[in-house]
Amino acid sequence: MSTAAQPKDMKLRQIKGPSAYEGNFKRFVYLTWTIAITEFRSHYFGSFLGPLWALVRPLMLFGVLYVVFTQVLRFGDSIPNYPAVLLLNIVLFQFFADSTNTSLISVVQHENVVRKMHFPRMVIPIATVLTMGFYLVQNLIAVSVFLVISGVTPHLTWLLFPLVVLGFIVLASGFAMLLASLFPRFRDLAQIWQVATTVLLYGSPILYTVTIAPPGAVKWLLYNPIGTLLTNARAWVIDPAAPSAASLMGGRVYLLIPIGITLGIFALGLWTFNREAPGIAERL
Amino acid sequence: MTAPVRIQVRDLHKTFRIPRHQYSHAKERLLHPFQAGEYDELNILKGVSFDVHAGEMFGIVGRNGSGKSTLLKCLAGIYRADSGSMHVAGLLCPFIELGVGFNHELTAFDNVRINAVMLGMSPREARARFEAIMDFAELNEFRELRLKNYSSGMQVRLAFAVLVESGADVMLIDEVLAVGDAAFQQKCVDFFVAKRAEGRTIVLVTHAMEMVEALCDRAMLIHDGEIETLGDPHEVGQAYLRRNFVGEPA
Repeated sequence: MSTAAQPKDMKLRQIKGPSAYEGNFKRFVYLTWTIAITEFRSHYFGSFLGPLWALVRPLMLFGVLYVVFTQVLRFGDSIPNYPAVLLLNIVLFQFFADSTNTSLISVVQHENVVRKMHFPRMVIPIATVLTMGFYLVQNLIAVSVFLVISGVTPHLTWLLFPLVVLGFIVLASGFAMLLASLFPRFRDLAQIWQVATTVLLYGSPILYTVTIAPPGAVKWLLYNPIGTLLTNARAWVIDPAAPSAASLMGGRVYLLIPIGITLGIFALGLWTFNREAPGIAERL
Repeated sequence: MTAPVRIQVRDLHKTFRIPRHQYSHAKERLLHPFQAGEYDELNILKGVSFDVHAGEMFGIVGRNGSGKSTLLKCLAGIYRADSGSMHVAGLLCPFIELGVGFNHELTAFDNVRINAVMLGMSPREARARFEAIMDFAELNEFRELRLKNYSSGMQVRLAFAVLVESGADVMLIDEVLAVGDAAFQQKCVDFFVAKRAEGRTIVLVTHAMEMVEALCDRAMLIHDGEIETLGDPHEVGQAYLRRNFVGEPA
């Protein structure tokens, strides 16, 4: 940076104050990557299992739910490959829940840096989502081993699965930006979002599939982007015989609703964060 | 002075709005949906203008709450100014309130890397400079220690070492010399003198008048958000002492 050989631009430039992005893409990427990697390595620092905890947590939740839904409530029997569906759904939803809940407090958590350094503020929630993305990749590798062991055969539609992950990333990033920028103003958001996460856990087809939901509810479950993504994940990855979200809704055109919601939340998050970023250091 | 201008500040205003009632709870919002909330306006900077040149060490003094740190934070791009303009030339590195921003849960290595990237280095450059930073800070044996286990003096040393290696053209230094020991203070002073000779710009906020008089080329006294005296460091130092002990303007 300061190598003497490099001629430097010593013209006066205006100081405009902090903002969300600041226009230097390379620096944005470097910083996001460095922070995400560091968080990934240090989050479970000192614990025996380290980052494997990110895998153990969904596995334990899976274990409990699996016993409840196949031994106690017994509706798991009516869904082919229920364990595989349940595990994949939990891992994907956990990415969403962890990304949003951690992003929400992220700007406040990084207060020390935000109040003393000049850098694009958007890096903080995006790096948080990226960190959770690393855990997601780790967990998906474990899930794919589980799938093969439990008798799911790989097929060509597995190639469509990145679309599901992309959908979750866009949705989680949108909420991450929205929540991170509003939390310094409205501290109740932490509690509200925890409740919302629980509502989403049960209100989305995660522990069950849309195919066993009451017919009148199917459409509504699929207008929820999480419902669409998980339904397609099941059809593409686990059970080619399972119906896709589009066919359940009665046509591809209906996909525009969950896609529109996802992009709308992303745009709202982007807009809100941009608006809040210049003054966010003063509100901490 | 004929040296080129590196910092140019014109009619800078900064006001903080402190809510009188904290309406950040949803229940209160629901109970008072149309009440916008009353604010106390804190006028911290009221039209500050000055220039700092290349190869200059510029002192800023003033009593607590006079607006020194707010001024530096505006210059560093951490706070947005309400009106007026600020221009800076070259790479600017801030050192606000005893240090660059560190995360206390992370090790020295991680903190240094993140800070270096924030200052504009690539991750590779940041790794390459890590050794030099730890050498300057004399903290090589504690590189894997988390920052929360560092003493305050060690933290300042580490932060200052990042600044040293940043290669900044303009340095904004807020009270760096208050915590370190005598040997470290001398190291800092030597560094400032060497950088000034290279034509870099150093803005020093401090309460140590002997430092201002011995080191600074010019200085200014800020009182209540306005520049009260700007010019000869000795005169500014005297004005500062009068402000402190007599309460009178210069």
